Amino acid sequence: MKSPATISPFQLFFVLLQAQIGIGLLTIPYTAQVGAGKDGWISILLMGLFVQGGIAVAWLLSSRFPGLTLYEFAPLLVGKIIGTVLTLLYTLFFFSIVAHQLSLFLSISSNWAYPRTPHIIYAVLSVAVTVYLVKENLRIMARFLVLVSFLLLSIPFAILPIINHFEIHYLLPVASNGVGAIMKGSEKLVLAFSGFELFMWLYPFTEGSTKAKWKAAAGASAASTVLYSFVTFASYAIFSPKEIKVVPEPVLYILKEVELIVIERIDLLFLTIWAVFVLTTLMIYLYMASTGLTHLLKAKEHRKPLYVLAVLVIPLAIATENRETLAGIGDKLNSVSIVLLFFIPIVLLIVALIRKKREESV
Amino acid sequence: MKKWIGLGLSCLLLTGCWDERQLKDQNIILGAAIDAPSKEEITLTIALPQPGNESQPTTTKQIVSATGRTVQESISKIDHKIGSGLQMGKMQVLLISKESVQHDIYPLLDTLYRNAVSSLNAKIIITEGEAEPFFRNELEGEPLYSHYYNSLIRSAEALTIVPKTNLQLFASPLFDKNDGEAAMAPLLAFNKEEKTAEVKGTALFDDKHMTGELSVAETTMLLLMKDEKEKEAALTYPVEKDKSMTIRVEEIKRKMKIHVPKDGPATVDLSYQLRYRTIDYPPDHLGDKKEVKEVDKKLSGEIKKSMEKTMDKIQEAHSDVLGIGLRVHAKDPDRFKQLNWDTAYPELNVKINVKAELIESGITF
Repeated sequence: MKSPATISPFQLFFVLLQAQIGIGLLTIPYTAQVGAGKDGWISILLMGLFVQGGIAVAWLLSSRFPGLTLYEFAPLLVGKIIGTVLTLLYTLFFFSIVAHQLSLFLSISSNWAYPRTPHIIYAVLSVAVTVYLVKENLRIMARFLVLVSFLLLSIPFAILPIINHFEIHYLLPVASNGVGAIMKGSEKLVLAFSGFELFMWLYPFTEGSTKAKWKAAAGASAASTVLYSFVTFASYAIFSPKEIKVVPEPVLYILKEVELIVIERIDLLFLTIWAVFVLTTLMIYLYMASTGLTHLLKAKEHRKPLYVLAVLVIPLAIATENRETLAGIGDKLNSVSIVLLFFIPIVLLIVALIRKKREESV
Repeated sequence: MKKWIGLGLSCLLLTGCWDERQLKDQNIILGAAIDAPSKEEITLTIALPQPGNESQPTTTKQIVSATGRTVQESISKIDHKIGSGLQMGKMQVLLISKESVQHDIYPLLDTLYRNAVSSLNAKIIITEGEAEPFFRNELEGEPLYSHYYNSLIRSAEALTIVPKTNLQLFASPLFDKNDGEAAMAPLLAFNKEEKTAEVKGTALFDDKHMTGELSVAETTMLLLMKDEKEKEAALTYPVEKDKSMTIRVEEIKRKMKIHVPKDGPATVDLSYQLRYRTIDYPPDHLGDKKEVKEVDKKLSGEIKKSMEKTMDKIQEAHSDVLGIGLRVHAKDPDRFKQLNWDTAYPELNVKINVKAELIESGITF
């Protein structure tokens, strides 16, 4: 099922960046402080390091099978049955990320801006936009993702006007809660960083040397780490350590106060920009889920599986509206993602090393 | 054909708007006043504006009050009285009476923090006496009261006579009783004879209730001590027997040193370097270098005295507006817990040192 369309390492960078930055952008300061308190921004940097490790594993694995995605090389390593199970697992995982992100997206936007709009309308609209792009091939998607990436620049610019309200003393003394707390904070962040694993699927479709591909993936992840820790640092310097515990979307909340000369309520403006980041994440994951399903069904192209998944995701996303349930699901997905993003690739790599499997040797 | 189906579908899907708020159906509230003599009795007063046109400016159309157990209940009771929905998103000022903040202020504000529509850059103002008359009484020559109060506070901020705050900035200290920083808000009084409002200084908070107040001059001093001089800050002191001088602070530099010994009380050293310009100096002999030195020395002493007085006052009010607790906590969290800041802060030994320096005397000496 190899699509002929390829992307450049430059495009790979933005695809992975847009996959990582999604819902998590608004909530990451809150998520990080649950475990780590005011040192949450260090947890993010630490998680960024772990992710670099994950990328290295993915890269070592993929460079052994330069023409194959994980769906294709897993059966070669662990046999057909386990390989199929893995494909199924990853497909389900990608699909549930789409559903989860979509329902979080609906809940946040209804809370902040559209309290009376029925969720189904919003769900249909966002899925329609997503499908419209995902039905095309990877290269077309990548072009769009590169195009919208300039919006990422708006994040530092939105925060700039409140820099003089920063109270750095809220963050001091650094790391006073101990390394344990920082590690605990990192643990919750895996889901926010998910996206880098797609490297193992995009690798064969990327042109250029293996080193260039690694650079793109590592760079994307480093960029999102920096961005995440920046917004987290800003949120902790605005909200006192106890206040942040009652603000689940701190990044939007700090923008509520910003008043530029002609515009008020930057939070609402930013919400629309953020919607683009969420949509791009939805696109990439829906693409991944549909190619997974295509692979499972041995279908020729990913369009029909895509339509099926798109129709399925809407009822799933609107079924869970309340924040408590969503947070519970998020926690579970987070635990699952530790296995799927780190554990399984490492096992696969070990198997590949022991059995000395490479694409040429098969 | 396909194109037409798509077009038809998008017409169906993209029209319709559940969250439209049409201006004609909405009452935009620009200002609100809260009087809460007891916890169960919250009176909310709002001022509805009358939209203006080219020949007539926007004016206050109607003042409505209602009492409820929560702010939201009061809002819905107001809704019962007026035809169209209330829109809090454009609020510019929130006036709360001094009496209401003798107990916990947070219940009065929670709804504003909780609902996404509210605007958090509204100015929070504490009023001498009840807050309701600030909208009910006549203000000379001011058609739109909320706007007047807002600009009054903004210009006072620029003159460094009230602390710069808004609903959002006000909130952080409310959550952090034990980590130091205290909240403060401008204090306003109504002058019935002249039909104007008047800035009275600052309301000091300890935790979530008001515990003291500062006069306008003391507020300026406090803001200088906080290193938060705005565009202008003027001070007046006596120079000779029956003559006073007024200076404008051009630049102030602060050094704060906190000593937290393992045992014994914490001490703070505050030293300030202040550069000023004279804007009113009747004795007229600043051409003389010796004289300038004398004035510098005298002023340094006077400013130091005022700072010490202000410091005493905020310590007495248990109001750690300088954020000393926050810094002690940042330096040594364990020691901070041991100290019990509640009792340690009023006893804190603060040493203040001021060095004033004339840099400009205007176009005469």
